[in-house]
This record gives sequence, structure tokens and C-alpha cells, in this order.
Amino acid sequence: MNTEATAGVNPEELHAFFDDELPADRADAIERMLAEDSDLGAEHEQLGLMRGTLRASLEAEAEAVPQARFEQVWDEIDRAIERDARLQAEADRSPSVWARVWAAFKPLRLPALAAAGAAAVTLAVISTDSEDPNKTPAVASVDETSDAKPAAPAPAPSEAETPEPTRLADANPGGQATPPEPEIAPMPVPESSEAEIHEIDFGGKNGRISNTGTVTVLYVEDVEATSSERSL
Amino acid sequence: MIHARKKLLASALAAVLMPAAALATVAVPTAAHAAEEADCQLTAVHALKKGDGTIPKSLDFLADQLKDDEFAAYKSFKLIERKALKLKRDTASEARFSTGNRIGLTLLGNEGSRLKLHADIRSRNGETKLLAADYSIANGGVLLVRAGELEHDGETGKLFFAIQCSGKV
Repeated sequence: MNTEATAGVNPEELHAFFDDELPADRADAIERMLAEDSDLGAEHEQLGLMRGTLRASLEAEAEAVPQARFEQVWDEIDRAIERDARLQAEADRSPSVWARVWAAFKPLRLPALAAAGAAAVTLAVISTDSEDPNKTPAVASVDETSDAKPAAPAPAPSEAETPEPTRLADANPGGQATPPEPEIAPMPVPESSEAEIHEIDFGGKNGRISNTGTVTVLYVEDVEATSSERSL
Repeated sequence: MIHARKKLLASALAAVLMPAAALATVAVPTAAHAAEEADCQLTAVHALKKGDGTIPKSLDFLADQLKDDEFAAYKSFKLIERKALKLKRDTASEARFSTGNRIGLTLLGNEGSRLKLHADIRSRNGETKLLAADYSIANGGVLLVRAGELEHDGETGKLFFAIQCSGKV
């Protein structure tokens, strides 16, 4: 039987008190009522029991979910965040005038490059023809002010005076600058590597197939397969 | 006069079309050539959640795949090992990796320009079956398989295998 005090507390208010959501003065009043009214006290205790039961059941369910599941979920979340950030960054980046002009001339790039290449080859041929075939690049580095005797006939180049043609090569010692080639040369990959899976067995473990249109990835999970509905 | 012109036109048309038809008859069976052999490359990749996002030169050939959203959670990739296999139709070939994993591949044939393959991946103890799959893929296409967690060079990440095969189809 409810006392006068109990009658003054409706269920919503009792729930709010239970969740610490009432103003301090009202909470104090209800606390006094709880001490005086056994029915109200029992109702309050019931709420505590319900919360305990619910928490225990959720914790048990969470325990049953393997760590790999959580990791998989976090991976998905990470991927979604990365994707969103990238899309946002791309959206924020407005193309500059030069970028637009460059894009507009896209169809002309290849012919222009070919023409430039041909022009460069022609220039190289012309400049080679106009030079003294015996002139070496090292002559340019000779200091003409020191001991220069222009009137004297040019001496035959002795071994000591002849510039070393290998000097350029010395400036770039071999083996250090170029990374070692991989033993197996990679094959070209087609634009789309989407695979069609006809039959698959994950060896008794959980697994999933992901197809993005660019690539197909098969995920073999680290845990044994379960019959849980939460299996992804 | 008109009749004679029509006859001439028909003869000319036949002269043009007959060799084309003959060529097509010869060419069609050649196009449907069955794949008897394939060259495959198997690459073990360590995917890490730390790094600056650059893909090393040794994995350039996988750049499009590794830049896909599917790998957005990983910040760096390292080449662990690369193996080559030559496949003959219906004959299993196997490669063994330094991680302990073994990968068996069999060329099952082709579906037009796509190769049909069977892949069998064993765990790092070399015995437990991780995966057995029959699949078809574009000639030269890459199938990626995530084969669990791996600690390599003091770093913990995920182990991926890239399986790529190319045959005459």
C-alpha cells in the first residue's frame, strides 16, 4: 500500500532518481520518502536488480565476442574515417587556374611532348655537327689565364694532360646510388583485378571475401569459426 | 545495263567478303586457345598501421591495390618475400615462404581471357589449412589474401599474400 509520500512519486520520477537525474532538493525529498516507505524502497531496489541483471548479460555477451571481431570492427571504422577524410580533403581542394589549363590541354600533351622530343634531338644533332669533333668537354674547364700560350702550337695531348673521360663516372660511384634490383621482375597488373570466387574453404575458420572493383581480398581470420550470429 | 552493274557489284562484294569469312573461321579457334601454362608470382607483404603512407618501390606494382580503400587502415607496407612459380595445367606447384606459410597453386584452365586457378594456403606451421579457393581472374590480375597477424623485424602487422598469374590465353 502506498503511503502519502509514495503517492507523490511517479514511476518516471523514481527512474530519474535512480539515474541521478533529479535536482538535488527533489532527490533529497525522494531519498527521505524511500527511507519511510517500504513499498517505494522495494520498487527502487527492483530497479537496481534489473540494472545488475542487464549489465551481467551484456558483459557475458561481450565476453563471447572474440578479440578479432573487435579488431575487425575497428578496422572498418578506421577505414571509414580515412575514406571520409580523404574525400573531404579532395572536395576541399579546388583546382588552380594552371591545373584547369593543364587539364584542358590534356589531349595535346602527347603530340607536344613528341614534337619537343624531336626538336631536342634535332638541336642535339645540329650542335654536335657544329662542334670540333676533337674538342672534349674538359677543355672548357682549362684555366686560360694560367700559363696559356696561344701562339705556341698545340702540343699533342699527353697521357698526363688528357682529361680523364671517366671522371664523370667517378662522381657517381656505382653500386651505391642505384638500389639493388629485385630478383624477380614484377609483372604488369591489369586495371581491374576483381576475382570471381567459385569455391572457398577457410579451413574451419571464419573468413570473408571483399570485392571493391579494383581488387579482391580474402580475409582469413585468426579465430576458429563460431555459430554466433555476430559472425561477420 | 543495270542488271550487269548489279552483277558486278555482287561479284566485287563476294571477293571482299570471302577472304574475311575464311580468316574469321581460322581465327576463332585460335582466340579460344586453352591456357596450358602460367607464370605466377607470389608476394608476401607486411602491412603496418604505423608509417607515412608511402609504398616502397619494391611494391610499386601493387600500388593501385594497396591504395584502395580496402587497405586504408594501413600506413605502411613492406615486402617480405617474392616467389615465382611456373604452373602447368592441372598440376599443383608449391612455394614455401620464410614466414613458414606454404602456397600451392594449380592452373585449372581459362574462361575466355580469364585464368581459372586453385589456391591453397597453409598456416605458418606449414600444416594447418588456412584457405582453399577456386577462382577466376583477369590474366595478370592480383588476388590478395590476408593470412593473419605477423611480427616481422620487431613490428607487428598483418601478413598479406598477393597471388598474380599470367598465362597464354
